[in-house]
Amino acid sequence: MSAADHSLSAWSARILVAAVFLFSVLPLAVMLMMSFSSSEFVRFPPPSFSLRWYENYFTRTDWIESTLRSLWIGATVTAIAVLLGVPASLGIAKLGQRSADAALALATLPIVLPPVVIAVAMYMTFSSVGLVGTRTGIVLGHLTLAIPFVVLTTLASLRRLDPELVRAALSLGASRTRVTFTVTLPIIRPGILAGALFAFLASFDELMISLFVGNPEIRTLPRRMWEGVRSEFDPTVSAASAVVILATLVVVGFAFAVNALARRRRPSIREQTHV
Amino acid sequence: MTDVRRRRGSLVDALRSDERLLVLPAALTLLVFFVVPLAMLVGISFSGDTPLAAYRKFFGSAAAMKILANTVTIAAVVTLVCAVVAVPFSLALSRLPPAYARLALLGVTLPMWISLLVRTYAWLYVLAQEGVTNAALEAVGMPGAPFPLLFNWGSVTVGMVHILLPYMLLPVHNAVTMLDPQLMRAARSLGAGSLRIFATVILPLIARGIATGAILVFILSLGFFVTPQMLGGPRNTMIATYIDVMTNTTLDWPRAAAASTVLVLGVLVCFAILSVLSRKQPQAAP
Repeated sequence: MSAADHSLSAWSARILVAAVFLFSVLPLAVMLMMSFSSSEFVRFPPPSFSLRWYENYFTRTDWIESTLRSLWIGATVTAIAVLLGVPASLGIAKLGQRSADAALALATLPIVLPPVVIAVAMYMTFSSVGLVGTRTGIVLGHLTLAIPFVVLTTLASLRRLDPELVRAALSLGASRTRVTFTVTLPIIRPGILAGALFAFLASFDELMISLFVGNPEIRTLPRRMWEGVRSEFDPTVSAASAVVILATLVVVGFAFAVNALARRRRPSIREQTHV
Repeated sequence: MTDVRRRRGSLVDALRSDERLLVLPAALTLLVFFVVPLAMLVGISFSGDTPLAAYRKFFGSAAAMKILANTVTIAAVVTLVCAVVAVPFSLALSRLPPAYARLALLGVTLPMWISLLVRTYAWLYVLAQEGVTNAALEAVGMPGAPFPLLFNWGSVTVGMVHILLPYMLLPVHNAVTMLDPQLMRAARSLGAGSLRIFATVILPLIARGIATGAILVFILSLGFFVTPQMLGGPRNTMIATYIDVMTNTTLDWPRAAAASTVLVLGVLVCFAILSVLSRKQPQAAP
């Protein structure tokens, strides 16, 4: 292969990577730009720029109420999912191979099964016990999607935990409970945080359960956005999308930052325990 | 009385001594609010006039069978497109300077974090009659522009590929990073051309990564609801929409449940193949 050949293939590699990168990012960039358009139709380039869709989003009660409702549901779901999921992962780590596999299969199912099937199943079952059209119904539904994320991420960091640390603490006379709270949990905190983040996003972005188990009175933000696209084209959805993207990036960025900090601090934890 | 207290005491003791019991609260929650509804769904699918009536209606309906065929076809096409994009992308990525490669990988996987609804909605601005694509085509004087780019299988496919591509990219990228560059150099020094190296050295080594990604993308494609509804027209119906219509409009719950059960069975079969594939993972060479 000649040198010319080589640089040619290096260039085609660059172009290919750039093309896929643009395909992934460009639609979102275009939408963000169009959220400042003054037109109520999709028209590119926008006739002029304005903040009318943001004004719409921030001043109309149906948009703000559904946003606050989604935040509240997301926070509730995250809190319960962490309280149930973290102990569950500690338990799974102690199970035998076969039971652990079964527990993991149960935890993976809500992630891989089609959302519409889960939502329909909950709708048909919850309707016979009066949970349809209630916030509790939506929280319970979202909870089953959120717990698996907490379990899977916490378990992943538990598996990376150095068992020597636990053994050392036990040999120094700490009780099992104390070891869990002072050794295990602080070390796996980044995994728990990542799980909490996934759990929150799983609830905050969820549409199908909100459509089937919720009703028009208890709209979540995704449901409000869905209505804004389905009935007639409402560009307020683009402003709401911009808010959702910004919120997501802030939350994800925060988690990355905390994990980076934890990684920088970890060697000192290890030193202390080994001394 | 003492009996009860003793039993209660033993439960607390058991919890204290056996950490495995910590699994129970989460497992019970999933059991009651996830497994039981699914079981009820399967039960409802057999609750028609005769146990199999709903299935007979589902499989006997030409419209439903067309929708089922559409669903499997579009899932297969989306999977194929993702593979055709992901393999060259991952190989190209491995030739870039690491800093660029990391940036590109981040850019391609970052949208995974963002709401599916938002990502699908964004395509409306790209593909609409007066959207970005048509504006660009008109600007370069493409005859026939603007084109009707939205509300057909093409726009549905593009939207689904955009959302599912990361699920193919990550396993393929993992497989590519584990390739030993010495193998390629050896093949080249023995006189093999680029195409031959790709077909006989690279492809067999990353086949497992491609298969993992393909099954993931296929499984997730089967249940898509938002994207075909938003980017497709009335004729671009997939099985998830059919289930929605049967549940909420036709109010034929047994048939909605039967269609759901068929869909779940399809997903579970693919999932079983996936877990067999990942269990047979060869140990990394020393």
